[in-house]
Amino acid sequence: MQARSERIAAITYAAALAAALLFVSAIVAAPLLEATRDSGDVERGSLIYLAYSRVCHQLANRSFQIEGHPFAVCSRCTGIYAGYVMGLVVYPFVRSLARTETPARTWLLVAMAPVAIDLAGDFAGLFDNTLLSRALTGGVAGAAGAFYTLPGLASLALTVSRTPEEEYSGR
Amino acid sequence: MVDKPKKFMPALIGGAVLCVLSLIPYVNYGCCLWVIAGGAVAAYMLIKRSPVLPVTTGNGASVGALAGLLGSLLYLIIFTPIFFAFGREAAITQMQDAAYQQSDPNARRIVMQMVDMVRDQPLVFILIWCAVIAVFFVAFSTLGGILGVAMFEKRKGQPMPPMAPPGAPGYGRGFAPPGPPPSGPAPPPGEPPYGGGDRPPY
Repeated sequence: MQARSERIAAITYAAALAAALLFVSAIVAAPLLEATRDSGDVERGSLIYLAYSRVCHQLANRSFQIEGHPFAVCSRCTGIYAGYVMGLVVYPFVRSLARTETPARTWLLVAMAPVAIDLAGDFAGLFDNTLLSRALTGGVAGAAGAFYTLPGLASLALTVSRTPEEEYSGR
Repeated sequence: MVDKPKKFMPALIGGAVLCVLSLIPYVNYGCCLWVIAGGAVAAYMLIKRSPVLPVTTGNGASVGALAGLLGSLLYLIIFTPIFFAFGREAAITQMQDAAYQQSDPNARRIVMQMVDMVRDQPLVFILIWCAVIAVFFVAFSTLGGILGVAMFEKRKGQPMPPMAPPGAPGYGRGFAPPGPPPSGPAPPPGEPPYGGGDRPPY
Protein backbone atom coordinates (compact mmCIF):
# COMPACT_ATOMS: atom_id res chain seq x y z
CA MET A 1 0.00 0.00 0.00
CA GLN A 2 2.84 2.33 0.95
CA ALA A 3 4.59 1.49 -2.31
CA ARG A 4 1.42 2.27 -4.25
CA SER A 5 1.10 5.68 -2.56
CA GLU A 6 4.72 6.43 -3.34
CA ARG A 7 4.25 5.38 -6.94
CA ILE A 8 1.19 7.61 -7.35
CA ALA A 9 3.04 10.50 -5.71
CA ALA A 10 6.01 9.96 -8.04
CA ILE A 11 3.74 9.95 -11.10
CA THR A 12 2.08 13.15 -9.86
CA TYR A 13 5.48 14.72 -9.36
CA ALA A 14 6.63 13.74 -12.85
CA ALA A 15 3.44 15.11 -14.40
CA ALA A 16 3.72 18.39 -12.47
CA LEU A 17 7.38 18.78 -13.43
CA ALA A 18 6.68 18.03 -17.09
CA ALA A 19 3.78 20.51 -17.19
CA ALA A 20 5.81 23.22 -15.44
CA LEU A 21 8.79 22.66 -17.77
CA LEU A 22 6.53 22.87 -20.81
CA PHE A 23 4.94 26.04 -19.46
CA VAL A 24 8.31 27.72 -18.83
CA SER A 25 9.78 26.51 -22.12
CA ALA A 26 6.97 28.15 -24.05
CA ILE A 27 7.70 31.47 -22.28
CA VAL A 28 11.22 31.45 -23.73
CA ALA A 29 10.18 29.80 -27.00
CA ALA A 30 7.95 32.72 -28.00
CA PRO A 31 10.77 35.28 -28.46
CA LEU A 32 13.10 32.59 -29.85
CA LEU A 33 10.57 31.66 -32.50
CA GLU A 34 10.05 35.30 -33.36
CA ALA A 35 13.79 36.02 -33.47
CA THR A 36 14.63 33.03 -35.64
CA ARG A 37 11.57 33.23 -37.88
CA ASP A 38 12.18 33.36 -41.60
CA SER A 39 9.97 35.59 -43.67
CA GLY A 40 8.00 32.60 -44.99
CA ASP A 41 7.29 31.11 -41.57
CA VAL A 42 4.03 31.29 -39.71
CA GLU A 43 4.06 33.48 -36.58
CA ARG A 44 4.03 30.62 -34.08
CA GLY A 45 5.38 32.93 -31.40
CA SER A 46 2.30 35.13 -31.73
CA LEU A 47 0.06 32.24 -30.77
CA ILE A 48 2.09 31.72 -27.59
CA TYR A 49 1.87 35.45 -26.79
CA LEU A 50 -1.88 35.29 -27.31
CA ALA A 51 -2.25 32.25 -25.04
CA TYR A 52 -0.14 33.80 -22.27
CA SER A 53 -1.92 37.15 -22.48
CA ARG A 54 -4.46 35.85 -19.93
CA VAL A 55 -1.83 35.22 -17.27
CA CYS A 56 0.34 38.31 -17.64
CA HIS A 57 0.14 41.96 -18.73
CA GLN A 58 3.08 41.29 -21.11
CA LEU A 59 4.44 44.85 -20.95
CA ALA A 60 7.58 44.75 -23.10
CA ASN A 61 9.50 47.22 -20.92
CA ARG A 62 8.98 44.95 -17.91
CA SER A 63 10.01 41.77 -19.71
CA PHE A 64 13.27 40.06 -20.58
CA GLN A 65 13.93 40.15 -24.29
CA ILE A 66 15.76 38.11 -26.91
CA GLU A 67 16.88 40.20 -29.89
CA GLY A 68 14.18 42.76 -29.16
CA HIS A 69 11.40 40.20 -28.74
CA PRO A 70 9.97 40.07 -25.20
CA PHE A 71 9.38 36.85 -23.28
CA ALA A 72 5.78 35.66 -23.28
CA VAL A 73 5.38 36.95 -19.69
CA CYS A 74 6.94 39.77 -17.66
CA SER A 75 10.13 39.38 -15.64
CA ARG A 76 8.34 38.82 -12.33
CA CYS A 77 6.12 36.12 -13.82
CA THR A 78 9.17 34.57 -15.52
CA GLY A 79 10.89 34.49 -12.13
CA ILE A 80 7.87 32.94 -10.43
CA TYR A 81 7.47 30.18 -13.02
CA ALA A 82 11.20 29.48 -13.34
CA GLY A 83 11.44 29.44 -9.53
CA TYR A 84 8.53 27.02 -9.41
CA VAL A 85 10.38 24.64 -11.74
CA MET A 86 13.53 24.97 -9.63
CA GLY A 87 11.49 24.25 -6.51
CA LEU A 88 10.07 21.13 -8.12
CA VAL A 89 13.54 19.96 -9.17
CA VAL A 90 14.86 20.38 -5.62
CA TYR A 91 11.75 18.99 -3.90
CA PRO A 92 12.51 15.22 -3.91
CA PHE A 93 15.95 15.87 -2.38
CA VAL A 94 14.42 17.80 0.51
CA ARG A 95 11.08 16.15 1.17
CA SER A 96 9.34 12.85 0.54
CA LEU A 97 7.07 12.97 -2.50
CA ALA A 98 4.41 10.98 -0.63
CA ARG A 99 3.93 13.65 2.05
CA THR A 100 0.58 15.37 1.63
CA GLU A 101 0.78 17.96 4.40
CA THR A 102 2.18 21.38 3.54
CA PRO A 103 4.98 23.13 5.44
CA ALA A 104 4.06 25.79 8.01
CA ARG A 105 2.38 28.78 6.41
CA THR A 106 4.95 31.12 7.97
CA TRP A 107 7.49 30.02 5.37
CA LEU A 108 5.11 30.88 2.55
CA LEU A 109 4.67 34.37 3.96
CA VAL A 110 8.43 34.70 4.40
CA ALA A 111 8.99 33.62 0.79
CA MET A 112 6.43 36.11 -0.49
CA ALA A 113 7.85 39.00 1.55
CA PRO A 114 10.61 39.87 -0.98
CA VAL A 115 8.02 40.27 -3.76
CA ALA A 116 5.90 42.47 -1.50
CA ILE A 117 8.92 44.60 -0.52
CA ASP A 118 10.07 44.92 -4.14
CA LEU A 119 6.57 45.89 -5.24
CA ALA A 120 5.82 48.25 -2.34
CA GLY A 121 9.23 49.94 -2.42
CA ASP A 122 8.88 50.76 -6.10
CA PHE A 123 5.28 51.87 -5.69
CA ALA A 124 6.17 54.15 -2.77
CA GLY A 125 9.12 55.62 -4.68
CA LEU A 126 11.68 54.36 -2.18
CA PHE A 127 13.67 52.63 -4.92
CA ASP A 128 13.31 51.56 -8.51
CA ASN A 129 12.98 47.85 -8.99
CA THR A 130 14.61 46.23 -11.99
CA LEU A 131 13.98 43.28 -14.26
CA LEU A 132 16.45 41.29 -12.19
CA SER A 133 14.99 42.26 -8.82
CA ARG A 134 11.50 41.35 -10.00
CA ALA A 135 12.67 38.03 -11.39
CA LEU A 136 14.73 37.10 -8.32
CA THR A 137 12.06 38.00 -5.79
CA GLY A 138 9.45 36.24 -7.92
CA GLY A 139 11.75 33.22 -8.13
CA VAL A 140 11.88 32.90 -4.34
CA ALA A 141 8.07 32.98 -4.14
CA GLY A 142 7.74 30.52 -7.01
CA ALA A 143 10.20 28.04 -5.50
CA ALA A 144 8.33 28.16 -2.19
CA GLY A 145 5.07 27.70 -4.08
CA ALA A 146 6.27 24.32 -5.33
CA PHE A 147 6.67 23.10 -1.74
CA TYR A 148 3.07 24.04 -0.94
CA THR A 149 1.32 22.94 -4.11
CA LEU A 150 2.97 19.58 -4.76
CA PRO A 151 1.66 18.01 -1.51
CA GLY A 152 -1.81 19.15 -2.53
CA LEU A 153 -1.51 17.65 -5.99
CA ALA A 154 -0.23 14.40 -4.46
CA SER A 155 -3.11 14.40 -1.98
CA LEU A 156 -5.59 14.97 -4.81
CA ALA A 157 -4.07 12.15 -6.88
CA LEU A 158 -4.16 9.76 -3.90
CA THR A 159 -7.78 10.68 -3.15
CA VAL A 160 -8.86 10.23 -6.75
CA SER A 161 -7.10 6.88 -7.09
CA ARG A 162 -8.44 5.51 -3.81
CA THR A 163 -11.11 2.81 -3.88
CA PRO A 164 -14.14 3.03 -1.53
CA GLU A 165 -12.76 0.12 0.52
CA GLU A 166 -9.41 1.87 0.94
CA GLU A 167 -11.22 5.05 1.94
CA TYR A 168 -13.22 3.14 4.53
CA SER A 169 -10.19 1.44 6.00
CA GLY A 170 -8.48 4.81 6.30
CA ARG A 171 -5.48 3.80 4.22
CA MET B 1 -23.76 11.77 10.70
CA VAL B 2 -21.19 14.38 9.67
CA ASP B 3 -21.49 15.21 6.00
CA LYS B 4 -18.53 16.37 4.01
CA PRO B 5 -19.15 20.02 3.14
CA LYS B 6 -20.48 20.50 -0.36
CA LYS B 7 -17.92 22.00 -2.69
CA PHE B 8 -20.24 23.56 -5.23
CA MET B 9 -21.08 26.84 -3.48
CA PRO B 10 -17.50 27.62 -2.36
CA ALA B 11 -16.31 26.79 -5.88
CA LEU B 12 -19.00 28.97 -7.45
CA ILE B 13 -18.07 31.94 -5.26
CA GLY B 14 -14.35 31.41 -5.93
CA GLY B 15 -15.10 31.09 -9.65
CA ALA B 16 -17.11 34.32 -9.60
CA VAL B 17 -14.25 36.13 -7.86
CA LEU B 18 -11.62 35.00 -10.36
CA CYS B 19 -13.90 35.60 -13.34
CA VAL B 20 -15.01 39.11 -12.39
CA LEU B 21 -11.54 40.28 -11.36
CA SER B 22 -10.10 38.88 -14.60
CA LEU B 23 -12.63 40.82 -16.67
CA ILE B 24 -12.36 44.26 -15.08
CA PRO B 25 -10.04 46.50 -17.11
CA TYR B 26 -6.83 47.57 -15.29
CA VAL B 27 -7.69 45.31 -12.35
CA ASN B 28 -6.95 42.39 -14.67
CA TYR B 29 -3.32 43.55 -14.73
CA GLY B 30 -3.10 41.39 -11.61
CA CYS B 31 -2.85 38.54 -14.12
CA CYS B 32 -2.91 35.02 -12.74
CA LEU B 33 -2.95 36.41 -9.18
CA TRP B 34 -6.75 36.76 -9.39
CA VAL B 35 -7.16 33.21 -10.58
CA ILE B 36 -5.01 31.94 -7.71
CA ALA B 37 -6.98 34.21 -5.35
CA GLY B 38 -10.25 32.73 -6.65
CA GLY B 39 -9.04 29.22 -5.84
CA ALA B 40 -7.89 30.38 -2.41
CA VAL B 41 -11.29 32.00 -1.74
CA ALA B 42 -13.01 28.72 -2.65
CA ALA B 43 -10.71 26.83 -0.25
CA TYR B 44 -11.36 29.39 2.51
CA MET B 45 -15.12 29.05 2.08
CA LEU B 46 -14.83 25.26 2.14
CA ILE B 47 -12.88 25.46 5.40
CA LYS B 48 -15.52 27.74 6.92
CA ARG B 49 -18.24 25.29 5.90
CA SER B 50 -16.42 22.35 7.45
CA PRO B 51 -16.53 22.87 11.23
CA VAL B 52 -15.71 19.25 12.09
CA LEU B 53 -13.65 17.72 9.32
CA PRO B 54 -10.28 19.31 8.58
CA VAL B 55 -9.94 20.23 4.92
CA THR B 56 -7.01 18.47 3.26
CA THR B 57 -4.79 19.92 0.56
CA GLY B 58 -6.40 17.43 -1.84
CA ASN B 59 -9.83 18.90 -1.00
CA GLY B 60 -8.35 22.35 -1.62
CA ALA B 61 -7.04 21.23 -5.00
CA SER B 62 -10.38 19.77 -6.04
CA VAL B 63 -12.43 22.78 -4.92
CA GLY B 64 -9.88 25.05 -6.62
CA ALA B 65 -10.13 23.08 -9.86
CA LEU B 66 -13.93 23.25 -9.67
CA ALA B 67 -13.72 27.01 -9.06
CA GLY B 68 -11.55 27.35 -12.17
CA LEU B 69 -14.03 25.35 -14.21
CA LEU B 70 -17.03 27.33 -12.96
CA GLY B 71 -15.07 30.56 -13.41
CA SER B 72 -14.44 29.60 -17.04
CA LEU B 73 -18.14 28.97 -17.58
CA LEU B 74 -19.00 32.31 -15.96
CA TYR B 75 -16.37 33.95 -18.15
CA LEU B 76 -18.03 32.42 -21.20
CA ILE B 77 -21.47 33.60 -20.06
CA ILE B 78 -20.29 37.16 -19.30
CA PHE B 79 -17.77 37.51 -22.12
CA THR B 80 -20.09 36.37 -24.94
CA PRO B 81 -22.67 39.21 -24.74
CA ILE B 82 -19.91 41.77 -24.08
CA PHE B 83 -18.08 40.51 -27.15
CA PHE B 84 -21.18 40.69 -29.35
CA ALA B 85 -22.23 44.10 -28.00
CA PHE B 86 -18.91 45.92 -27.97
CA GLY B 87 -15.97 43.75 -28.85
CA ARG B 88 -16.71 42.02 -32.14
CA GLU B 89 -16.30 44.92 -34.56
CA ALA B 90 -13.36 46.29 -32.58
CA ALA B 91 -11.68 42.88 -32.64
CA ILE B 92 -12.22 42.55 -36.41
CA THR B 93 -10.80 46.04 -37.06
CA GLN B 94 -7.83 45.38 -34.77
CA MET B 95 -7.07 42.04 -36.41
CA GLN B 96 -7.43 43.50 -39.90
CA ASP B 97 -4.96 46.24 -38.98
CA ALA B 98 -2.61 43.58 -37.67
CA ALA B 99 -3.01 41.59 -40.88
CA TYR B 100 -2.18 44.60 -43.07
CA GLN B 101 0.96 45.25 -41.05
CA GLN B 102 2.28 41.75 -41.76
CA SER B 103 4.99 41.70 -44.39
CA ASP B 104 4.75 37.92 -44.48
CA PRO B 105 1.94 36.72 -46.78
CA ASN B 106 1.51 33.48 -44.81
CA ALA B 107 1.10 35.32 -41.53
CA ARG B 108 -1.30 37.77 -43.17
CA ARG B 109 -3.36 34.86 -44.53
CA ILE B 110 -3.58 33.25 -41.08
CA VAL B 111 -4.67 36.49 -39.40
CA MET B 112 -7.25 37.07 -42.13
CA GLN B 113 -8.54 33.54 -41.58
CA MET B 114 -9.00 34.44 -37.91
CA VAL B 115 -10.80 37.63 -38.97
CA ASP B 116 -13.13 35.53 -41.13
CA MET B 117 -13.75 33.20 -38.22
CA VAL B 118 -14.61 36.12 -35.91
CA ARG B 119 -16.94 37.52 -38.57
CA ASP B 120 -18.58 34.32 -39.79
CA GLN B 121 -18.34 31.98 -36.82
CA PRO B 122 -18.00 34.19 -33.76
CA LEU B 123 -19.25 31.47 -31.44
CA VAL B 124 -16.51 29.10 -32.57
CA PHE B 125 -13.94 31.84 -31.94
CA ILE B 126 -15.37 32.50 -28.47
CA LEU B 127 -15.41 28.79 -27.61
CA ILE B 128 -11.78 28.34 -28.67
CA TRP B 129 -10.75 31.43 -26.73
CA CYS B 130 -12.65 30.33 -23.64
CA ALA B 131 -11.17 26.80 -23.89
CA VAL B 132 -7.66 28.29 -23.79
CA ILE B 133 -8.68 30.43 -20.82
CA ALA B 134 -10.26 27.43 -19.07
CA VAL B 135 -6.94 25.55 -19.16
CA PHE B 136 -5.19 28.44 -17.40
CA PHE B 137 -8.07 29.05 -15.00
CA VAL B 138 -8.30 25.42 -13.88
CA ALA B 139 -4.51 25.00 -13.52
CA PHE B 140 -3.91 28.20 -11.54
CA SER B 141 -7.10 27.93 -9.51
CA THR B 142 -6.13 24.39 -8.44
CA LEU B 143 -2.83 25.74 -7.15
CA GLY B 144 -4.75 28.59 -5.49
CA GLY B 145 -7.01 26.09 -3.71
CA ILE B 146 -4.00 24.23 -2.33
CA LEU B 147 -2.37 27.47 -1.20
CA GLY B 148 -5.68 28.49 0.38
CA VAL B 149 -5.69 25.36 2.54
CA ALA B 150 -2.03 25.93 3.42
CA MET B 151 -2.90 29.48 4.49
CA PHE B 152 -6.28 29.11 6.21
CA GLU B 153 -6.63 25.53 7.50
CA LYS B 154 -5.45 25.48 11.12
CA ARG B 155 -6.57 21.95 12.06
CA LYS B 156 -3.77 20.05 10.36
CA GLY B 157 -2.82 16.69 11.83
CA GLN B 158 -6.15 16.01 13.52
CA PRO B 159 -7.43 12.46 13.12
CA MET B 160 -10.32 12.01 10.72
CA PRO B 161 -13.60 10.84 12.25
CA PRO B 162 -14.53 7.25 11.39
CA MET B 163 -16.48 6.56 8.25
CA ALA B 164 -19.44 4.33 7.68
CA PRO B 165 -18.65 1.04 5.94
CA PRO B 166 -19.31 0.70 2.22
CA GLY B 167 -22.97 0.12 1.58
CA ALA B 168 -24.12 1.72 4.83
CA PRO B 169 -26.70 4.53 4.67
CA GLY B 170 -24.94 7.73 3.79
CA TYR B 171 -21.87 5.99 2.46
CA GLY B 172 -20.47 7.78 -0.53
CA ARG B 173 -22.12 11.03 0.48
CA GLY B 174 -20.17 11.75 3.62
CA PHE B 175 -18.81 10.56 6.90
CA ALA B 176 -20.93 8.77 9.45
CA PRO B 177 -20.18 7.48 12.94
CA PRO B 178 -20.24 3.70 13.13
CA GLY B 179 -23.29 2.04 14.61
CA PRO B 180 -23.24 -0.07 17.81
CA PRO B 181 -20.71 -2.89 17.95
CA PRO B 182 -21.99 -6.07 16.30
CA SER B 183 -22.00 -8.10 19.51
CA GLY B 184 -23.11 -5.36 21.86
CA PRO B 185 -26.62 -4.50 22.94
CA ALA B 186 -28.62 -1.99 20.95
CA PRO B 187 -28.92 1.41 22.67
CA PRO B 188 -32.21 2.12 24.39
CA PRO B 189 -34.66 4.09 22.29
CA GLY B 190 -34.03 7.81 22.40
CA GLU B 191 -30.39 7.51 23.47
CA PRO B 192 -27.38 8.18 21.25
CA PRO B 193 -25.39 5.10 20.16
CA TYR B 194 -22.56 5.71 22.63
CA GLY B 195 -24.59 6.69 25.61
CA GLY B 196 -22.94 9.91 26.78
CA GLY B 197 -25.21 12.61 25.50
CA ASP B 198 -22.93 15.30 26.87
CA ARG B 199 -19.92 13.98 25.03
CA PRO B 200 -18.73 15.53 21.83
CA PRO B 201 -19.87 13.66 18.72
CA TYR B 202 -16.50 11.89 18.36
